Amino acid sequence: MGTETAKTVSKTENIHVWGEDTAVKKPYCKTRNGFWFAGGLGGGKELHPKSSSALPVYKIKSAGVWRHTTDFKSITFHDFAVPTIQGCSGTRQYAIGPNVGASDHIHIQNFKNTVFDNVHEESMIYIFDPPKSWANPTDCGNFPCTAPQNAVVKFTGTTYKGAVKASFTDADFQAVGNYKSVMHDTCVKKDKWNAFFCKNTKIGILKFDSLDGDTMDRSVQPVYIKNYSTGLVNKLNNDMDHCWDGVYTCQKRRTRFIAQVQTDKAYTIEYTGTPPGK
Amino acid sequence: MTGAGVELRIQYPESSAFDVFVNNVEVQINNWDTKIGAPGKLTKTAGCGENRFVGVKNYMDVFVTPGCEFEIRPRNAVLTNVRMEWTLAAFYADGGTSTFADRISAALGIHKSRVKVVAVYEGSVIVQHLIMAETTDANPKATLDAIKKSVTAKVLAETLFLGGKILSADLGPDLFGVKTDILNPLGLTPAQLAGGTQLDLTVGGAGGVAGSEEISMGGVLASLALSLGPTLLFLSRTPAVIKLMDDLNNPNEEE
Repeated sequence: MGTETAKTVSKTENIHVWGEDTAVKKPYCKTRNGFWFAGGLGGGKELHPKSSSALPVYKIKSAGVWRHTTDFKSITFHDFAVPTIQGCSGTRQYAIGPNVGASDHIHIQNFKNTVFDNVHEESMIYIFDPPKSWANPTDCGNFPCTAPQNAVVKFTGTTYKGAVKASFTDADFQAVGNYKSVMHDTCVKKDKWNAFFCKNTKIGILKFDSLDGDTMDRSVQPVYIKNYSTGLVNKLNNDMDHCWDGVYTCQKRRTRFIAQVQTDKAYTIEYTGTPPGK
Repeated sequence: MTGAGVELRIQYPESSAFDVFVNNVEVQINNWDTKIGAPGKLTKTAGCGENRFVGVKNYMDVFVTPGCEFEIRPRNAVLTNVRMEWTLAAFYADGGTSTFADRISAALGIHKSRVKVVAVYEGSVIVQHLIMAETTDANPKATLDAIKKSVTAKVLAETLFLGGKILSADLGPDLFGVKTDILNPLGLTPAQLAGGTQLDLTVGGAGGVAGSEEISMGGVLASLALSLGPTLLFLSRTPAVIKLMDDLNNPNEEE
């Protein structure tokens, strides 16, 4: 949980996360992540919910906040040695990935001194495409919210051990969401991650929002971030409508946009509505 | 050598006045570059918030460094275009945008900082500029209305001295995106202007048949009545309109 003004931090340190690489009698057949991205959100939930509307607990019901940082130190992932869950066809396991409801603002995820122990490269991370089901009048409008495809995950000081290892041995690298038209310098697509693998410390997130009085009401999306030298066209949506007024959503969506960028490039922002005054 | 940071270009639908702030401190727009007829391109060495707004093309460039937050704040302003019988070389030889802003501010009795030139281009010389209200102005609309009236009066009276003879001037697009030349509000062609076209702006004026190029307000109204009359008559007889009129006249009546 975060705030709009004060800087907040999600910290996780010295934990161990295990995958399943052996057959069990009654496997839990559902695609899963060992560790979800942390989010700085405008509202949280009680640890012990008192109403069914709060369930499932992991479901995000508020927009991402402006300021938030993440700090994950010395997390060790063990035994994601096979990408699939044995005994379960069509299911997969990944060490790291975004919350299934992360529609608005995935802050940069900083992983320091991460250890991948007996982890298959295909199981390291998966960043899903924004689901089409978000594209409806009560959530994101006529196209899905765009946070997942602008996710930036930074690894530093990473080590690899165990019988199964990735094909690369980089201590420092980045995984970024999959926007279709272009990638940053040095990035290569990894289909099994649905993301790009990069060795580029200049990748960051550009965020901008409207401070006008109608920021929750007036739509200016889609907004396009373009880089004419590389051909990049990143189509952005604003936040999901998280507010409920009885049985209907409030039709309130904050005009805030998040885009992955390379911090030594030039970009043009094109609004499809009248740009905010401030 | 340039600093590390992103060069952002924000496209706007029209020229507008904006200030850029970093940590609540205004970052001044880049100095004018006579070679490009616009504020100088970003150097990327002046730090976060370095900016410029280019008129006519209507975009703002801002340089943002990692970790920096900047804020764009709009200014209440009148967008003005002036076309002068001059050459670009002579315009710049005469002091360029700085002297131009001096002359505008002197003519209107305002501080020079309230005049922002956003584009200068050939044709003969066209200067697009913004005349802004003070940020502390409690009633900027009244201030800008007064500025518009003052500019219009001075242009018509030929007392707005900007260096070259003013050939046309406008106060930016109206609500429908149309610019109206103060000196030629009807948008007559040069031939019409040179041909001594007679204008009769008296409603229902009797002298409205003086020539083939004549424009008569009476004639315009008559044409409108003739063209719209049958349409209105038809609409008034359609069931939906009859019911609407009935509802309006008898709002409390239940069906």
